[in-house]
Amino acid sequence: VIRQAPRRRRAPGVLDVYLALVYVFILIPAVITVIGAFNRARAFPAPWQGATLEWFRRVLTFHDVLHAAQVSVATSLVCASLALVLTIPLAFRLTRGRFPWRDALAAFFMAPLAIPQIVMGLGMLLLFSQLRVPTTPVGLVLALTVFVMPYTLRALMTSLASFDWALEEAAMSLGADRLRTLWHVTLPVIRPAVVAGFAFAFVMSFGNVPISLFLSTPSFTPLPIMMLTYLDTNLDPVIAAIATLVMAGVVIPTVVVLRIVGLKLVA
Amino acid sequence: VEVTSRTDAAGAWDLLPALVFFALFFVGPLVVVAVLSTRPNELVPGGGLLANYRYFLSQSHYLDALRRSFSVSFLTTVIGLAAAYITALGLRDRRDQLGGFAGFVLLFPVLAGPIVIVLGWMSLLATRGPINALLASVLSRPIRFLGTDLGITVGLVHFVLPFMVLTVLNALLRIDPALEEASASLGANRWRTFWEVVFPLSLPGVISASLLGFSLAVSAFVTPYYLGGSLRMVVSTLISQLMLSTFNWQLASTSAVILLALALGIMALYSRALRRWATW
Repeated sequence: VIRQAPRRRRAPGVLDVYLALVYVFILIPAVITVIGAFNRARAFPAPWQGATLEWFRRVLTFHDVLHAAQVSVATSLVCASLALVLTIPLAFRLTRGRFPWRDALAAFFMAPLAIPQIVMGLGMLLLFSQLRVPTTPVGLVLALTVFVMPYTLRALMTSLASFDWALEEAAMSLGADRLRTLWHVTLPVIRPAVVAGFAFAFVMSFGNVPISLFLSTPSFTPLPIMMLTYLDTNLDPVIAAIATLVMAGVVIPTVVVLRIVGLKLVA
Repeated sequence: VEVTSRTDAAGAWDLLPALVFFALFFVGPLVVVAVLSTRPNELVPGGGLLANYRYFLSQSHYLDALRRSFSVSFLTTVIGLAAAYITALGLRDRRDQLGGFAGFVLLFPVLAGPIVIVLGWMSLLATRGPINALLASVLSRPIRFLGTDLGITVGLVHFVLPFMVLTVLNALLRIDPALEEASASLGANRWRTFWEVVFPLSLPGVISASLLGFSLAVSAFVTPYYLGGSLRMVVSTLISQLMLSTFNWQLASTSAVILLALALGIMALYSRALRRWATW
């Protein structure tokens, strides 16, 4: 339905000013961190003392940071892929299947969103130690995968909810088998949701602290935990430079991807 | 009544991998936490199943964290809801001009991750930081944000706001514009239309937004850890202290169960009370 809602053009009112202030509030911590990364002052936080690229130079030769970044990229890639593999069949079944407990099951798979993340991380550490398995990267990957599965599941289910199943029937009645139908008909339709779910899962596991806190080991420390440890002993702009590089290298590209594939944030 | 067809029952096999994965790595860890939360430890050598919980509730240090978790999250939810509702109203009115872009900007701090954002708050809220510099013309002495409940609340409102705005906005967009047009054509002014048509219909969104806000605030770790510091503990930072400084896994588990109860219990009570009120 095309609805041309009557919209009056008007001068900026109280609500416009309010909205502008809300957006300033939302973005200002990120902006201040970026500014801090270029500040010549030796401390962080500190008043502005002129611009320098020194802190970025240090980050790029700082072995611990580069290693932690590799750990985070690898972990997040594995988690996002694993979450997709597990939730694609699930999303099909939960959208299309008709069976008792369907809604309860959907709610169950969304439940990690309602559980404090620090409790999930703690639980995974305790589980591994009760089983007398050392907390290897596996524990971290498993816990983060559970944490991001609701995001991939929701992206997929939203997309499948509007999928026209008659397309599948048409393909099969024209002689395509189940696999060909899935590959050539269904997957192309839900591809934006697959990409959006993957990107969202990647970035959410990349930035996570509470789950990773108890599950990282000295040789396998994700970037946010490395930053946390660094902050305990050093208060200098290197930390702001790392944060700036994370935003430029991971967060902004993800926002662009999500925008391109048209992730729907509201109905 | 839906009848389960044979193909559906047969196809239910594809639920299995995800179900097994969740049973092992989502339910499993929570069960271990629940079991360990009742076990004797260095500080509580015995005394039965609930001894750890009794100990928790008898220590002023722990109770202080519990009280702060609740009060700060409550305050965050109230402020966040008011701010989010007005924001969502504004975004709904300007949907045509702003498009989907407004939502993505809101989501930026969520995607950036808590540690990147908290660094910004540490600079902004510092005693000699930009916010106090702005306030210096009005106030005789700077406000202490860092290491206070006020600082934690500012950080938490920022943390929950995007989620609350999107939740309320979703509810507002579900309201059929024809209802408002009808109300207006029947002679109601904008204010009356809002209170008697839009607001009641948006209540489900208000409820979900407050539940989400409270649950996110009470579960938050990074914000209270850096903005509250070691003197202003909440339950989530207490858990990390018990794990990483005291090495008492049992009492950490007890605190975790209490945090879980706080996050889920308040939500259950609140949604029940509101639902009763809404259907009345």
